Amino acid sequence: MRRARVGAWVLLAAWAWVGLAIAVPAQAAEPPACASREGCGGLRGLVRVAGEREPVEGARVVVVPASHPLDADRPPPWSVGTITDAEGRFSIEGVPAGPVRMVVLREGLLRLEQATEVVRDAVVAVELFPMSDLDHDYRTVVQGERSIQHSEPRSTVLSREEIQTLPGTQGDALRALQNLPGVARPPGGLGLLVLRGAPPWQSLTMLGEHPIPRAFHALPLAAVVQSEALDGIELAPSNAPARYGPLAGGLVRLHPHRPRRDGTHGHAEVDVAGTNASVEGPLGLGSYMVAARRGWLDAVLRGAEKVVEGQGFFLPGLWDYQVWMLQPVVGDGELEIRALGAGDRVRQRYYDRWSTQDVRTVFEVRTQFHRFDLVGRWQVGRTRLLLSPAVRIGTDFASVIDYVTLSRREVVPGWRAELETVIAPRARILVGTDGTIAPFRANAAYIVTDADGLESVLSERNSSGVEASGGVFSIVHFGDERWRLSPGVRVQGFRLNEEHHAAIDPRFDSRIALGDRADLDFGVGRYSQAAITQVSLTGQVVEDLVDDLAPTIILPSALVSSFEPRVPFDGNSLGMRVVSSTQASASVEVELPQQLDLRVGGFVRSFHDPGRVGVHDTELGLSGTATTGLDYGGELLLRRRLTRKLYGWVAYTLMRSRRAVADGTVVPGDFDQPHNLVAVASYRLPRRWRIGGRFRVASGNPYRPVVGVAELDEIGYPTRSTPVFGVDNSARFPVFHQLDLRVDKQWVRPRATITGYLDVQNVYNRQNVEAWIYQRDYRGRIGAFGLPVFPTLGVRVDF
Amino acid sequence: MCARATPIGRSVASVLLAGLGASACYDDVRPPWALSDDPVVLGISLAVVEDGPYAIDLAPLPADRPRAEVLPLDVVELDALVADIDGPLPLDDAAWVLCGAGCLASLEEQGRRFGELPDCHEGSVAQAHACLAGRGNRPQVVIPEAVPPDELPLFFDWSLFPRVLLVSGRAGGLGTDACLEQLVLGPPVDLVGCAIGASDLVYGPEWVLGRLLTAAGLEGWDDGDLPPSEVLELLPPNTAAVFERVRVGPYVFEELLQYGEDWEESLPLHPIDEELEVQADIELIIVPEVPLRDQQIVLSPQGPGTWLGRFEWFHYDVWVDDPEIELLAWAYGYVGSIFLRTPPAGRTFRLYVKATDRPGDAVSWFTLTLRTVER
Repeated sequence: MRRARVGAWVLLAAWAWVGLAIAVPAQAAEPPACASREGCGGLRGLVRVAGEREPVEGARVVVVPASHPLDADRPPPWSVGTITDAEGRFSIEGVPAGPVRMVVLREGLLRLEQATEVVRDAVVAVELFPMSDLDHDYRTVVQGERSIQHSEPRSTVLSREEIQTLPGTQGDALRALQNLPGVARPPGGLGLLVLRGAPPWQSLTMLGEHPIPRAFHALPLAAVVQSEALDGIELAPSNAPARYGPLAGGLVRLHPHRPRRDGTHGHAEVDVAGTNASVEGPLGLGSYMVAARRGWLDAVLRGAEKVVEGQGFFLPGLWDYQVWMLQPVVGDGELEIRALGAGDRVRQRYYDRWSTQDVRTVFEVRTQFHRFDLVGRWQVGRTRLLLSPAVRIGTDFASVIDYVTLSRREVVPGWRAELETVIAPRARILVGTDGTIAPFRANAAYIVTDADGLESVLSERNSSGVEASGGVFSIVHFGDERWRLSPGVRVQGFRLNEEHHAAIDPRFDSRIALGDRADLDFGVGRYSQAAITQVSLTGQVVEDLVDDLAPTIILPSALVSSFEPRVPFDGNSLGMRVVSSTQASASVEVELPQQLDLRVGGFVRSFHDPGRVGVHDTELGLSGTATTGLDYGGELLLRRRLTRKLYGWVAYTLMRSRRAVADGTVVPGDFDQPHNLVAVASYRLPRRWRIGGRFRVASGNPYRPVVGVAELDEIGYPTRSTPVFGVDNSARFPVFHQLDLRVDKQWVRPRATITGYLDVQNVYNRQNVEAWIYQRDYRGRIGAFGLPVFPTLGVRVDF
Repeated sequence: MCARATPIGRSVASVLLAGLGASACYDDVRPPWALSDDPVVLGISLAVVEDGPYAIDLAPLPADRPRAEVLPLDVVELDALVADIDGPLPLDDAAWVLCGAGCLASLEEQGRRFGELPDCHEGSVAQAHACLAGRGNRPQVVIPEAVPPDELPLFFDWSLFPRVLLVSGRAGGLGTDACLEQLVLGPPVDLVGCAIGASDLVYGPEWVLGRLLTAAGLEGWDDGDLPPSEVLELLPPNTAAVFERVRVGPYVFEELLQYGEDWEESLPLHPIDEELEVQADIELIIVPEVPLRDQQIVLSPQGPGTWLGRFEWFHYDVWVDDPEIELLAWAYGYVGSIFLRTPPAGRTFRLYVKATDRPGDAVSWFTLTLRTVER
């Protein structure tokens, strides 16, 4: 915890008499003041921050006669005052009846004066809403633990405010992470997490105690959890502790918001992409929060669909919701109940006025999940216990015109249990288990369409099976204030129907203080996860569609590797393999003056993927095409800690990713991005304006280049040109760079804050090439440019 | 103008555009029918110059009309039309390769497994293999047996038969050997200056093939409703057409509707080796005249009775050496006639037309030089 104080009392010095008044030690009302002929009354009330309505503890409430001039150089004839309690409440007795002026004073808040009338022999209730003093550089911010005893490896934390005001990310929690070191700029600027060269599917995203099946909505545009439902987000791009798995890449932890109890609060927001809202408040002894979002890009694009004939559109429709409940339970524990869900419907359609169907759907994907968690936490002496069962229900559907419909349904129980206790003065042990069991049913129907457009099922296949994974883990933390060593091990089992695999993953991390202002982190470990080989809706669908219908489009290899959702559909031709990696990383963090932190580190990750195999291949003794790889690099983060006025950072990642395929050829990995520089700054201006900017420069993504052209003459067909491809990933798209700006303006009302924002992406309209579109003979190409200047205007109300 | 990209093309690109509402324009930088500085293999043809042992029962052909469908162990002369924006290119150093199905892939497989491209011989070219059949202009090549008798599969498959691949470098650029080396031994790095074209060889006549394959014990050969081979033996094998004249005139859709194909007959005939003057800024129709003697004699078993006659139509692939010329309805292919929009007066341009006959699939080509004038 850090505190920065700048002389707040100076603000009060101008009014000496108020200074005298508040110099009185905090007590209840000052009784001698009331000897008034008009008699006396009382005041009681609540002091809350204007807009946020957060109760203010420790504020001084001073009452003076309303007739006393503000600029008087003498003390008022009388004054009474008190200090608010933890819930912002105050009560003052013995106030002379008549008009009075109440003055509220506290560090970090603007002085508030409010007139009222004290009624004889009565107690008048008032509510006071002082505004935050944004020029006052005082606040409390949890900026990630620097304590050596913190039991997790080094991670980077983004606060809610940073997430919500970061330029170019539209308040999306996971897209905000893309600005941190170790996170590559994804292809097409999409919402993907590429952590230290690992494909997105190898990294694990946890919401609370359990993984979420996918981090982003389809395509992928936005995180499946909106940022209002989170208190923060934590990134460990490699060397996750043994508590977490299965994964072969990095870890992202989304910390669910702890709902407030200090009244009912919420927000509502509208912009071009959709709308979202939340509400939270007390519930019995605990609290609750409900949040929901509906994206409407599909509706916006549907409007354009009939305007541009023949223009194909991807129509992404999305929704998600989060319900959190927090209740204290006996034994100094607490119980959390969570329900969350997310759904997507993506259609690729085009308007064809000559068709009887008017608008034709080329393919459609519908996918959704709901998850219900129960989390119990108890602290008994020096022992901490966590028990959390969960269940997830998932349904997926996909159809490709004139070809196939696929569906899948699964009910997935999951669990996490942890026990942590002190076993010696300098040692703690954590043991636990987690896992999921996923029985599923799937259906694949191959369809034909007759001349009249009627569809009939050509063949159909129903299948069912069970996917499961589970782990037990243990970590022992040794150390004190100056050092910590945390060896751990995770034993994992994976099952797909009758097929079993196991992995033992030893892991170790440590932190050692280097003087008072620096520390060293080091971690090394092995990581394993199961990958299922089956008929699935992956980026291959996109690639196949492109090959069939628009073969002249050359996409970044990373895009095909990253399609979301990756939905496995067919239960009959399944195969499982275990992908493993060995990760090591080290970093030094130094606390600098001016509230700056500097972190410099390096990492290496080697991984092995035995390749796609099906059950039948396994039975025949066949193996897949193995891939091994090495990702390595260095990172630098210079960060200005969040203060009232300014936050920002400069993040630079130097990373190489190499893949060796079966014949020993070494090529750049799909996510090889040698250079990635992100500079972010956001500054609070007077009158509640905030301006921020983000500038990014990143190496282009690799792709398989066209190095020549051959003309093919096949009997019965016209001559056609076909590309001769070079080595995989032997070419790279041009360097990406972009500047985004964001301006926020807040209007604070006593009970609500209204925020209007303008977020402009790609301010100078850089034409970043995200794909190559070749002309049909492959002898010329143009770039498919990414986002042009793209302003987003939004309004948000918090109450 | 943003009209030429396919719907899915724009859609997939729009996925990349993250915001999805973002627009982008994916027009071709140059029309795909326009030749550029890079050489293009416009067509590959074959002419049987010496009958092999399986051709003994074929009907005789005129001396100037060689057979355009080949049987194993025939000797064929291979030819190609390769051009860039400056005109046809010489093939003095060209390499001719016989290859399996998936020609470029079989070349790569050949290099990966054997590290070289051997010379062809009268033996076989296995499906995934490739061999060097000849070098230079119009080489004469013995077409090998499809598959040696001891490797015959159970079922017939057209992929059993070799195809032909032409690779040609250019003077002052990447030589033919350098192009071949990249294709065979890899890795392919830069083949932009290499002319590369692969073509199915037209095997036939089908009734001879059917007889051979059946005798070899292959199942799966479907001869449809072909008449008895005793009848078919009387029909001459297919030959490639030789184009000498074209009909050229303004294309008036209403007249075409009114008069039908007879209207085309009213267009003036021009020799193809002369520079033709055509009206500027109009839609033009070009109808190549197919010499009657080049039309295939077909014995059709279709319909109520067997029909015997000359029956042929042509599919035309067209290129032009001026990117300003707009070929109309190019994407749908040309059958019977070619349409284009002429540029302003004073422009001279050349059309390269490859004609593939149907149903014979024999390939031939001609060029046509046009000059626009005001009328």
